[in-house]
Amino acid sequence: MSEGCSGGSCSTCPGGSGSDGEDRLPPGMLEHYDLNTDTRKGILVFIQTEDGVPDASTAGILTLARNISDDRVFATAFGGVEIKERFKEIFALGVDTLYHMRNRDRGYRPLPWASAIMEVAERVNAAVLLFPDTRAGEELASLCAAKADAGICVRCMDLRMENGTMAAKKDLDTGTIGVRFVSRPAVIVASSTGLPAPVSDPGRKGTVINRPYSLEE
Amino acid sequence: MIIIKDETDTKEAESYEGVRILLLTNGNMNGDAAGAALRLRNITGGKMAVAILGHSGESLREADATYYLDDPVFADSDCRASGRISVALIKKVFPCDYVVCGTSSAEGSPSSLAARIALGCDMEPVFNISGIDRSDDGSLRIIQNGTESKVSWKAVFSVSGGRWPEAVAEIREGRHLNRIDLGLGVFSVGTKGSKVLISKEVS
Repeated sequence: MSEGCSGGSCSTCPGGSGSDGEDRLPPGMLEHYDLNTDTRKGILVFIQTEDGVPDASTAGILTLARNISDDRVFATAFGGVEIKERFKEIFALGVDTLYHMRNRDRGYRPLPWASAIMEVAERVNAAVLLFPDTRAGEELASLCAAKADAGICVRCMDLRMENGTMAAKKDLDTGTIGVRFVSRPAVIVASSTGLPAPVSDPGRKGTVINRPYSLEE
Repeated sequence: MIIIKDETDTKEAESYEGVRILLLTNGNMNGDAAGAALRLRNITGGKMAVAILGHSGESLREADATYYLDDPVFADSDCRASGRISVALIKKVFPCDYVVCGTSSAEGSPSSLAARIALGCDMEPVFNISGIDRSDDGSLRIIQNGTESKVSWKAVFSVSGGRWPEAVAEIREGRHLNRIDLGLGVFSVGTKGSKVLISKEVS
Protein backbone atom coordinates (compact mmCIF):
# COMPACT_ATOMS: atom_id res chain seq x y z
CA MET A 1 0.00 0.00 0.00
CA SER A 2 1.51 3.34 -1.03
CA GLU A 3 2.05 6.14 1.46
CA GLY A 4 -1.04 8.29 2.06
CA CYS A 5 -3.31 5.72 0.50
CA SER A 6 -6.51 5.12 2.44
CA GLY A 7 -6.61 1.55 1.27
CA GLY A 8 -8.29 0.08 -1.76
CA SER A 9 -8.42 3.42 -3.56
CA CYS A 10 -5.85 3.01 -6.22
CA SER A 11 -4.78 0.51 -8.77
CA THR A 12 -1.66 -0.45 -6.79
CA CYS A 13 -3.66 -1.55 -3.78
CA PRO A 14 -4.70 -5.15 -3.53
CA GLY A 15 -8.44 -5.31 -4.07
CA GLY A 16 -8.47 -1.62 -4.99
CA SER A 17 -11.03 -0.09 -7.26
CA GLY A 18 -8.61 -0.02 -10.10
CA SER A 19 -8.07 -3.76 -9.96
CA ASP A 20 -11.72 -4.67 -9.36
CA GLY A 21 -14.23 -3.30 -11.87
CA GLU A 22 -17.33 -4.36 -9.92
CA ASP A 23 -17.09 -2.04 -6.89
CA ARG A 24 -17.08 1.53 -8.21
CA LEU A 25 -18.15 3.27 -4.99
CA PRO A 26 -15.66 5.51 -3.19
CA PRO A 27 -14.07 3.75 -0.27
CA GLY A 28 -16.02 4.03 2.96
CA MET A 29 -19.18 5.26 1.27
CA LEU A 30 -21.37 2.39 2.45
CA GLU A 31 -20.22 3.05 5.99
CA HIS A 32 -21.62 6.57 5.82
CA TYR A 33 -24.90 5.91 4.01
CA ASP A 34 -27.63 3.66 5.38
CA LEU A 35 -29.43 2.39 2.31
CA ASN A 36 -32.37 1.28 4.43
CA THR A 37 -33.14 4.77 5.73
CA ASP A 38 -36.75 5.76 5.28
CA THR A 39 -36.95 8.73 2.93
CA ARG A 40 -40.45 9.84 3.93
CA LYS A 41 -40.67 13.46 4.98
CA GLY A 42 -43.28 16.06 5.71
CA ILE A 43 -46.81 15.91 6.98
CA LEU A 44 -50.09 15.37 5.15
CA VAL A 45 -53.09 16.87 6.92
CA PHE A 46 -56.73 16.02 6.27
CA ILE A 47 -58.79 19.21 6.39
CA GLN A 48 -62.38 18.42 7.21
CA THR A 49 -64.92 20.81 5.76
CA GLU A 50 -68.66 21.13 5.76
CA ASP A 51 -70.20 23.21 2.98
CA GLY A 52 -66.76 24.67 2.39
CA VAL A 53 -66.21 25.71 6.01
CA PRO A 54 -63.20 24.06 7.71
CA ASP A 55 -63.79 22.28 10.97
CA ALA A 56 -63.17 24.31 14.15
CA SER A 57 -59.99 22.36 14.94
CA THR A 58 -58.42 22.96 11.51
CA ALA A 59 -56.43 26.03 12.49
CA GLY A 60 -54.91 24.28 15.49
CA ILE A 61 -54.17 21.10 13.50
CA LEU A 62 -52.40 23.03 10.75
CA THR A 63 -50.38 25.02 13.27
CA LEU A 64 -49.41 21.77 14.96
CA ALA A 65 -48.37 20.32 11.61
CA ARG A 66 -46.21 23.33 10.88
CA ASN A 67 -44.58 23.09 14.31
CA ILE A 68 -43.61 19.44 14.10
CA SER A 69 -42.92 19.03 10.40
CA ASP A 70 -39.39 18.21 9.34
CA ASP A 71 -40.14 19.25 5.76
CA ARG A 72 -43.18 20.55 3.92
CA VAL A 73 -46.81 20.55 5.02
CA PHE A 74 -49.31 19.09 2.60
CA ALA A 75 -53.06 19.04 3.00
CA THR A 76 -56.11 17.48 1.39
CA ALA A 77 -59.52 19.10 1.28
CA PHE A 78 -62.55 17.39 -0.25
CA GLY A 79 -65.23 19.53 -1.81
CA GLY A 80 -66.25 21.71 -4.70
CA VAL A 81 -65.66 25.31 -5.71
CA GLU A 82 -66.74 26.52 -2.26
CA ILE A 83 -63.33 25.43 -0.95
CA LYS A 84 -61.56 28.03 -3.10
CA GLU A 85 -62.61 30.81 -0.74
CA ARG A 86 -60.57 29.12 1.98
CA PHE A 87 -57.30 28.77 0.10
CA LYS A 88 -55.68 31.92 1.51
CA GLU A 89 -56.71 31.02 5.02
CA ILE A 90 -55.28 27.51 4.65
CA PHE A 91 -51.96 28.72 3.26
CA ALA A 92 -51.71 31.37 5.98
CA LEU A 93 -51.85 28.60 8.57
CA GLY A 94 -48.74 26.93 7.15
CA VAL A 95 -49.75 24.64 4.29
CA ASP A 96 -47.27 24.51 1.42
CA THR A 97 -49.28 22.42 -1.03
CA LEU A 98 -53.02 21.84 -0.93
CA TYR A 99 -54.60 18.97 -2.81
CA HIS A 100 -58.15 19.96 -3.68
CA MET A 101 -59.92 16.60 -4.04
CA ARG A 102 -62.71 16.84 -6.58
CA ASN A 103 -65.64 14.62 -7.44
CA ARG A 104 -69.18 15.38 -8.58
CA ASP A 105 -70.53 13.47 -5.61
CA ARG A 106 -69.45 15.54 -2.61
CA GLY A 107 -70.92 13.21 -0.02
CA TYR A 108 -68.66 11.66 2.59
CA ARG A 109 -67.51 8.18 1.50
CA PRO A 110 -64.98 6.66 3.90
CA LEU A 111 -63.39 4.04 1.66
CA PRO A 112 -62.95 6.13 -1.52
CA TRP A 113 -61.78 9.12 0.51
CA ALA A 114 -59.22 7.02 2.35
CA SER A 115 -57.96 5.59 -0.94
CA ALA A 116 -57.65 9.10 -2.36
CA ILE A 117 -55.76 10.34 0.71
CA MET A 118 -53.39 7.38 0.54
CA GLU A 119 -52.67 8.07 -3.12
CA VAL A 120 -51.65 11.60 -2.22
CA ALA A 121 -49.65 10.37 0.78
CA GLU A 122 -47.69 8.01 -1.45
CA ARG A 123 -47.20 10.70 -4.05
CA VAL A 124 -45.74 13.21 -1.58
CA ASN A 125 -44.03 10.48 0.44
CA ALA A 126 -45.38 11.87 3.69
CA ALA A 127 -43.89 10.72 6.97
CA VAL A 128 -46.94 11.64 9.06
CA LEU A 129 -50.66 11.61 8.26
CA LEU A 130 -52.51 13.95 10.59
CA PHE A 131 -56.27 13.88 11.14
CA PRO A 132 -58.63 15.95 13.31
CA ASP A 133 -60.41 14.42 16.27
CA THR A 134 -63.77 14.08 14.55
CA ARG A 135 -65.86 11.10 13.49
CA ALA A 136 -64.70 11.36 9.89
CA GLY A 137 -61.11 12.03 10.96
CA GLU A 138 -60.97 8.90 13.07
CA GLU A 139 -62.61 6.73 10.43
CA LEU A 140 -60.33 7.94 7.66
CA ALA A 141 -57.26 7.64 9.86
CA SER A 142 -58.22 4.05 10.71
CA LEU A 143 -58.65 3.14 7.06
CA CYS A 144 -55.44 4.88 5.99
CA ALA A 145 -53.44 3.14 8.69
CA ALA A 146 -54.87 -0.21 7.64
CA LYS A 147 -54.17 0.42 3.95
CA ALA A 148 -50.63 1.58 4.65
CA ASP A 149 -50.03 -1.10 7.31
CA ALA A 150 -48.88 1.79 9.47
CA GLY A 151 -48.98 2.52 13.17
CA ILE A 152 -51.82 4.67 14.44
CA CYS A 153 -52.50 6.68 17.57
CA VAL A 154 -56.00 8.00 18.19
CA ARG A 155 -56.56 11.08 20.33
CA CYS A 156 -52.96 11.74 21.33
CA MET A 157 -51.36 14.90 22.63
CA ASP A 158 -47.93 16.42 23.02
CA LEU A 159 -46.84 15.39 19.55
CA ARG A 160 -43.14 15.84 18.95
CA MET A 161 -40.25 14.52 16.93
CA GLU A 162 -37.66 12.72 19.03
CA ASN A 163 -34.53 11.23 17.48
CA GLY A 164 -36.21 11.09 14.09
CA THR A 165 -39.35 9.31 15.31
CA MET A 166 -42.77 10.62 16.26
CA ALA A 167 -43.64 10.50 19.93
CA ALA A 168 -46.80 11.46 21.78
CA LYS A 169 -48.87 10.92 24.89
CA LYS A 170 -52.37 9.62 25.30
CA ASP A 171 -54.73 9.87 28.25
CA LEU A 172 -56.57 6.70 29.20
CA ASP A 173 -58.93 6.00 32.07
CA THR A 174 -56.08 4.16 33.78
CA GLY A 175 -53.52 6.93 33.33
CA THR A 176 -51.30 8.45 30.67
CA ILE A 177 -49.25 6.35 28.27
CA GLY A 178 -46.32 7.29 26.11
CA VAL A 179 -46.44 6.36 22.43
CA ARG A 180 -43.54 6.08 20.02
CA PHE A 181 -43.77 5.24 16.33
CA VAL A 182 -40.97 2.96 15.19
CA SER A 183 -41.63 3.33 11.47
CA ARG A 184 -43.12 5.69 8.93
CA PRO A 185 -45.65 6.74 7.98
CA ALA A 186 -47.25 7.50 11.30
CA VAL A 187 -51.02 7.98 11.30
CA ILE A 188 -52.19 10.33 14.02
CA VAL A 189 -55.54 11.62 15.20
CA ALA A 190 -54.61 14.65 17.27
CA SER A 191 -56.72 15.27 20.33
CA SER A 192 -58.71 18.49 20.07
CA THR A 193 -57.56 19.38 23.58
CA GLY A 194 -53.96 20.53 23.70
CA LEU A 195 -53.77 21.87 20.15
CA PRO A 196 -51.50 24.92 19.85
CA ALA A 197 -52.94 28.38 19.44
CA PRO A 198 -53.32 29.04 15.71
CA VAL A 199 -50.56 31.05 14.08
CA SER A 200 -51.50 32.73 10.83
CA ASP A 201 -49.26 34.51 8.33
CA PRO A 202 -51.56 36.28 5.85
CA GLY A 203 -48.74 36.93 3.40
CA ARG A 204 -47.88 33.27 3.06
CA LYS A 205 -48.49 31.59 -0.28
CA GLY A 206 -48.85 28.03 -1.43
CA THR A 207 -49.70 25.75 -4.32
CA VAL A 208 -53.08 24.24 -5.10
CA ILE A 209 -53.35 21.01 -7.05
CA ASN A 210 -56.78 19.95 -8.28
CA ARG A 211 -56.99 16.22 -7.94
CA PRO A 212 -60.04 14.26 -9.08
CA TYR A 213 -60.68 11.04 -7.23
CA SER A 214 -62.78 7.98 -7.97
CA LEU A 215 -65.63 6.63 -5.87
CA GLU A 216 -64.78 3.06 -6.85
CA GLU A 217 -63.42 1.16 -3.85
CA MET B 1 -68.61 -16.74 39.68
CA ILE B 2 -70.13 -19.21 37.30
CA ILE B 3 -67.90 -21.31 35.09
CA ILE B 4 -69.57 -23.33 32.42
CA LYS B 5 -67.88 -25.99 30.38
CA ASP B 6 -68.74 -25.35 26.79
CA GLU B 7 -66.29 -27.36 24.71
CA THR B 8 -69.19 -29.04 23.00
CA ASP B 9 -70.73 -25.67 22.26
CA THR B 10 -67.46 -24.39 20.80
CA LYS B 11 -67.15 -27.31 18.40
CA GLU B 12 -70.76 -26.94 17.41
CA ALA B 13 -70.30 -23.21 16.73
CA GLU B 14 -67.18 -23.86 14.66
CA SER B 15 -68.98 -26.38 12.48
CA TYR B 16 -72.16 -24.31 12.16
CA GLU B 17 -72.91 -23.42 8.57
CA GLY B 18 -75.30 -20.53 9.18
CA VAL B 19 -74.58 -16.92 10.12
CA ARG B 20 -71.69 -16.51 12.52
CA ILE B 21 -70.95 -13.46 14.63
CA LEU B 22 -67.72 -12.72 16.47
CA LEU B 23 -67.41 -10.28 19.36
CA LEU B 24 -63.89 -9.09 20.14
CA THR B 25 -63.25 -7.95 23.67
CA ASN B 26 -60.56 -7.71 26.33
CA GLY B 27 -60.85 -8.56 30.00
CA ASN B 28 -63.65 -6.04 30.54
CA MET B 29 -66.81 -6.42 28.53
CA ASN B 30 -67.96 -3.38 26.54
CA GLY B 31 -71.71 -3.20 27.13
CA ASP B 32 -72.56 -1.49 23.84
CA ALA B 33 -70.53 -3.89 21.72
CA ALA B 34 -71.92 -6.89 23.59
CA GLY B 35 -75.45 -5.62 23.08
CA ALA B 36 -74.80 -5.04 19.38
CA ALA B 37 -73.45 -8.56 18.96
CA LEU B 38 -76.45 -9.94 20.80
CA ARG B 39 -78.81 -7.94 18.59
CA LEU B 40 -77.08 -9.32 15.51
CA ARG B 41 -77.46 -12.84 16.84
CA ASN B 42 -81.14 -12.32 17.55
CA ILE B 43 -81.81 -10.82 14.12
CA THR B 44 -79.89 -13.39 12.10
CA GLY B 45 -80.50 -16.42 14.29
CA GLY B 46 -76.86 -17.34 14.01
CA LYS B 47 -74.09 -18.44 16.35
CA MET B 48 -72.10 -15.94 18.36
CA ALA B 49 -68.55 -16.41 19.63
CA VAL B 50 -66.69 -14.16 22.03
CA ALA B 51 -62.93 -13.77 21.59
CA ILE B 52 -61.06 -12.36 24.55
CA LEU B 53 -57.64 -10.84 24.01
CA GLY B 54 -55.92 -12.18 27.06
CA HIS B 55 -55.59 -15.10 29.43
CA SER B 56 -58.87 -14.53 31.21
CA GLY B 57 -61.85 -12.26 31.19
CA GLU B 58 -65.58 -12.06 30.88
CA SER B 59 -67.48 -13.75 28.09
CA LEU B 60 -71.25 -13.63 27.63
CA ARG B 61 -73.88 -15.97 28.91
CA GLU B 62 -75.46 -15.91 25.46
CA ALA B 63 -72.22 -16.84 23.69
CA ASP B 64 -72.13 -20.11 21.80
CA ALA B 65 -68.34 -20.26 21.98
CA THR B 66 -65.55 -18.50 23.86
CA TYR B 67 -61.96 -18.11 22.80
CA TYR B 68 -59.06 -16.82 24.86
CA LEU B 69 -56.26 -15.42 22.71
CA ASP B 70 -53.76 -16.47 25.27
CA ASP B 71 -50.03 -16.25 24.57
CA PRO B 72 -47.35 -14.22 26.36
CA VAL B 73 -46.03 -12.95 23.02
CA PHE B 74 -49.37 -11.24 22.37
CA ALA B 75 -48.65 -8.80 25.17
CA ASP B 76 -48.09 -5.13 24.26
CA SER B 77 -49.47 -5.62 20.75
CA ASP B 78 -50.40 -2.38 19.06
CA CYS B 79 -53.37 -1.98 16.73
CA ARG B 80 -51.47 -3.51 13.82
CA ALA B 81 -50.43 -6.61 15.75
CA SER B 82 -53.85 -6.93 17.40
CA GLY B 83 -55.41 -6.77 13.97
CA ARG B 84 -53.18 -9.61 12.78
CA ILE B 85 -54.19 -11.73 15.73
CA SER B 86 -57.86 -11.07 15.08
CA VAL B 87 -57.57 -11.74 11.35
CA ALA B 88 -55.75 -15.01 12.05
CA LEU B 89 -58.51 -16.06 14.44
CA ILE B 90 -61.16 -15.36 11.83
CA LYS B 91 -59.32 -17.08 8.99
CA LYS B 92 -58.09 -20.11 10.88
CA VAL B 93 -60.52 -20.84 13.66
CA PHE B 94 -63.84 -19.01 13.39
CA PRO B 95 -64.67 -17.70 9.91
CA CYS B 96 -67.58 -15.40 10.46
CA ASP B 97 -69.97 -13.09 8.68
CA TYR B 98 -70.06 -10.24 11.18
CA VAL B 99 -67.48 -8.97 13.61
CA VAL B 100 -68.18 -6.52 16.43
CA CYS B 101 -65.10 -4.77 17.81
CA GLY B 102 -65.55 -4.13 21.49
CA THR B 103 -61.93 -3.48 22.27
CA SER B 104 -58.80 -1.92 20.92
CA SER B 105 -55.13 -1.59 21.70
CA ALA B 106 -54.20 1.19 24.11
CA GLU B 107 -53.13 3.67 21.44
CA GLY B 108 -55.88 2.87 18.96
CA SER B 109 -59.64 2.68 18.99
CA PRO B 110 -62.28 0.06 18.13
CA SER B 111 -62.63 1.73 14.74
CA SER B 112 -58.93 1.37 13.98
CA LEU B 113 -59.06 -2.32 14.88
CA ALA B 114 -62.23 -2.75 12.83
CA ALA B 115 -60.51 -1.23 9.79
CA ARG B 116 -57.59 -3.66 10.13
CA ILE B 117 -59.87 -6.65 10.36
CA ALA B 118 -62.03 -5.48 7.47
CA LEU B 119 -59.08 -5.13 5.13
CA GLY B 120 -57.46 -8.33 6.32
CA CYS B 121 -60.60 -10.41 5.90
CA ASP B 122 -62.06 -8.62 2.87
CA MET B 123 -65.09 -7.41 4.78
CA GLU B 124 -66.87 -4.05 4.81
CA PRO B 125 -65.87 -1.71 7.67
CA VAL B 126 -68.83 0.00 9.31
CA PHE B 127 -67.89 2.51 11.96
CA ASN B 128 -69.67 3.89 14.98
CA ILE B 129 -73.06 2.26 14.61
CA SER B 130 -75.78 3.05 17.11
CA GLY B 131 -78.47 0.66 15.90
CA ILE B 132 -79.04 -2.51 13.86
CA ASP B 133 -82.32 -3.68 12.43
CA ARG B 134 -83.65 -5.87 9.67
CA SER B 135 -85.21 -3.99 6.78
CA ASP B 136 -88.33 -5.07 4.93
CA ASP B 137 -86.40 -6.86 2.19
CA GLY B 138 -84.54 -8.94 4.75
CA SER B 139 -81.20 -7.14 4.57
CA LEU B 140 -79.47 -5.64 7.57
CA ARG B 141 -80.03 -1.98 8.23
CA ILE B 142 -77.72 0.01 10.46
CA ILE B 143 -77.89 3.46 12.02
CA GLN B 144 -74.79 5.64 11.86
CA ASN B 145 -74.75 9.20 13.10
CA GLY B 146 -78.52 9.38 12.88
CA THR B 147 -78.75 8.09 9.31
CA GLU B 148 -79.88 4.66 8.16
CA SER B 149 -78.11 2.57 5.57
CA LYS B 150 -77.83 -1.02 4.46
CA VAL B 151 -74.83 -3.15 5.11
CA SER B 152 -73.34 -5.84 2.94
CA TRP B 153 -73.15 -9.50 3.77
CA LYS B 154 -69.81 -9.52 5.56
CA ALA B 155 -69.04 -6.54 7.76
CA VAL B 156 -66.96 -5.44 10.71
CA PHE B 157 -68.61 -3.05 13.14
CA SER B 158 -67.43 -0.60 15.74
CA VAL B 159 -70.12 0.65 18.10
CA SER B 160 -70.78 4.11 19.44
CA GLY B 161 -73.68 4.55 21.82
CA GLY B 162 -77.20 3.48 20.99
CA ARG B 163 -79.82 1.36 22.69
CA TRP B 164 -78.86 -2.28 22.80
CA PRO B 165 -80.21 -5.35 24.52
CA GLU B 166 -78.50 -6.06 27.77
CA ALA B 167 -76.01 -8.90 27.55
CA VAL B 168 -74.99 -10.76 30.68
CA ALA B 169 -71.23 -10.95 31.21
CA GLU B 170 -70.02 -14.24 32.61
CA ILE B 171 -66.78 -16.12 33.12
CA ARG B 172 -66.81 -19.20 30.93
CA GLU B 173 -64.56 -22.06 30.03
CA GLY B 174 -63.35 -21.58 26.52
CA ARG B 175 -60.77 -22.62 24.05
CA HIS B 176 -57.32 -21.16 24.64
CA LEU B 177 -55.47 -20.26 21.47
CA ASN B 178 -51.82 -19.39 21.26
CA ARG B 179 -49.58 -18.10 18.51
CA ILE B 180 -49.06 -21.55 17.02
CA ASP B 181 -52.78 -22.27 16.92
CA LEU B 182 -53.31 -19.10 14.94
CA GLY B 183 -50.36 -19.70 12.61
CA LEU B 184 -48.61 -16.48 13.58
CA GLY B 185 -44.90 -15.86 13.64
CA VAL B 186 -43.11 -14.25 16.56
CA PHE B 187 -42.43 -11.15 14.49
CA SER B 188 -46.13 -10.71 13.66
CA VAL B 189 -47.34 -10.00 17.17
CA GLY B 190 -46.40 -8.28 20.39
CA THR B 191 -43.78 -5.57 20.39
CA LYS B 192 -41.90 -7.24 17.52
CA GLY B 193 -44.95 -7.00 15.29
CA SER B 194 -45.93 -3.51 16.38
CA LYS B 195 -45.23 -0.22 14.70
CA VAL B 196 -46.16 1.75 17.82
CA LEU B 197 -44.41 1.12 21.12
CA ILE B 198 -46.30 1.94 24.26
CA SER B 199 -44.72 2.89 27.56
CA LYS B 200 -47.01 2.25 30.48
CA GLU B 201 -46.46 5.23 32.73
CA VAL B 202 -45.54 8.75 31.87
CA SER B 203 -44.76 11.26 34.60
